[in-house]
Amino acid sequence: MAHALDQALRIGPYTYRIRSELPELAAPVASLYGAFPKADTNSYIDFDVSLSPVSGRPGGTPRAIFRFDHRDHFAPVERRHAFATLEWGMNWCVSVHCNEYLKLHAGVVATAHGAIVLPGVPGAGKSTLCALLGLNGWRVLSDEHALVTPGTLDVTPIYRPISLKNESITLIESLHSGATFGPRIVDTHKGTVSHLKADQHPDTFDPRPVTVRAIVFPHYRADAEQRLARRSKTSSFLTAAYHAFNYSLLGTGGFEAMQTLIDGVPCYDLQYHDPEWALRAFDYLARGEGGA
Amino acid sequence: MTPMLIEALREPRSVSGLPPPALAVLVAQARTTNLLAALGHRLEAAGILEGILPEAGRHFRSAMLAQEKQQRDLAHELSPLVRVFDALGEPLVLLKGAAYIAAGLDCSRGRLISDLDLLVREAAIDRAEQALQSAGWEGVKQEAYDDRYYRRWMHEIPPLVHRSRGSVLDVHHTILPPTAGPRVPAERLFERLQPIAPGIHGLATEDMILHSAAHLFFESEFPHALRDLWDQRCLLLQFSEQIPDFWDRLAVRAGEMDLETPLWLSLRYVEMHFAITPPPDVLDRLRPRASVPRSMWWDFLFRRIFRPDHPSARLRFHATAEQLLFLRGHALRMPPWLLLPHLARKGFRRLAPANEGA
Repeated sequence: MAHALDQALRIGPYTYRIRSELPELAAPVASLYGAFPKADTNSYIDFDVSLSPVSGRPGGTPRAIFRFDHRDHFAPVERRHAFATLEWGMNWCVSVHCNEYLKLHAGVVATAHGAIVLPGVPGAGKSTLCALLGLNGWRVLSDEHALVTPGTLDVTPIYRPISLKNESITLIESLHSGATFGPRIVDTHKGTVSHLKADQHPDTFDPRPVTVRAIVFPHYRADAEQRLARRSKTSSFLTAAYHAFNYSLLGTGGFEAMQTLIDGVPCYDLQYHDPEWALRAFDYLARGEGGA
Repeated sequence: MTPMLIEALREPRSVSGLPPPALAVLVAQARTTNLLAALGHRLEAAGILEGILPEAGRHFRSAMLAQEKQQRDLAHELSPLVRVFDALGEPLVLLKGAAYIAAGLDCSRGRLISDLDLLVREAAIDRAEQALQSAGWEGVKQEAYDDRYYRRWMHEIPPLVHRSRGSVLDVHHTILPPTAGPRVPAERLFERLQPIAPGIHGLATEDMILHSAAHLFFESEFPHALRDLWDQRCLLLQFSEQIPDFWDRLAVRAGEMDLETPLWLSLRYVEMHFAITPPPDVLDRLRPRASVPRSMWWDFLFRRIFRPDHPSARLRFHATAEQLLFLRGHALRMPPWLLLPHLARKGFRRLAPANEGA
């Protein structure tokens, strides 16, 4: 079958080849990935992924399946969830491979002074913060993976559109009416999902590592006091290890990499609900007033 | 054309000149067959990994790290098993991947395992099941039909899953289903067990090879066919270099175990894919009846199934070969009066045309 979509894109340190016969994927990929550097035909393809229609019962719900290396790894999904599934599949490629880095489940943002890593469980608000910061002049390195080179404070950028869920979509839309979103995808296992283009910073596609300057554990609390507080190294280590994809896989290497990271930067808890307040807290951190 | 992966396993230097897109296909073929870490070790030993394109090298190293993690987990899994079997007064016998890793054989370099296979004397299997349950391995809840099928017709009890760690144990009492053609005398496997680690036993060297060959050529599904053939290649190479009269002893043991045909098939395809040549007289002694016409059929099936399941390597009629092997595996392991009702219940949906997609 002819592919409505067939592109090789450089995404952080990796090259993805993305193919699909689904015509409805062409528009969101063009709008959200249009600015990404293209790989040439002589490139090494790290992740060969596709989204294909699957035949089902006549008259049944149309379905589609994500494939990596031309193989099924997940059950088919409803076709209307195809774009979200492509995005999740592309995350999964990094989550289960790529052990050359200590990988934290974290957003990563940066200014000229360095990067801030935001580890957090889903719902802690890391994607929302990444979106807010990205639309306010910060550089977004990732809303999903902090790729830390073991033994260093280097984090490697792997920018992709930010995946926002439910109320976060309305919040960002209300604050930035001109923001570019992908399709709004309803009734997924995470509720409503939409992807925000957040590559406005001129260095977005610079592949070089950035030095981590602080670690901030975000906690979105609708009706609690807002505060930015130092967090102990021990509890930061434990929580960051809990939010890592491959901390235990890396064995002693993972322990040492985490120790270098946590020892090297100040760690904070950020409890927030007001976006303006959160932006001020990050500006404070960016100015280096938090101290190391 | 030989798939790049087979070429690379046979001759690691073949990887050196590959352009980046071809290297990416090689990595995909290796990942698909669960051989990425094993190939990484092979390239490392040949001094190739160091100089390889970094974009490819990181995928090999990454898979090697994941496999090392699995080896560490296996060690944690084994110590409670050693205690359970010690208390039972029965030997703890590992089969296949776990045994290769525990024994530190050459084929364990980069070897991934999915389940832990144990061999227990048939007379002790009920006691072993109870002891394992007390130690946290619980039977998976399943249909009564499946439970009866395992116990009555297979050579194992239904898989046990550890309640907190999620590890899966397959407990066998012999190496082929009792309904399969060859009559493998299980008690003779126990006579020649060898210690492979403190408190842990493996099959005798020849039996290890015969078990892996029997498993490979009596299977009905082949998710790891090339990986299993690579095991055979590594076992044969290592033991033929270490043990005097190895080939002769292997052929004699195959006769005692009624496993000449699977061994002959294994030697045939190991030679075809990895250029390990057994002495001609050994092959002649094992050769099954009417081997020439039957080889055409076997080659049609196995030359397809031993290629990576990736568009760069697949031959025409790959899906047909898979379906025929599915039927063949069942026909070999069960007489028709058992097979037909079983397939009616379980199997025919597997023969529905696979969705090839893109």
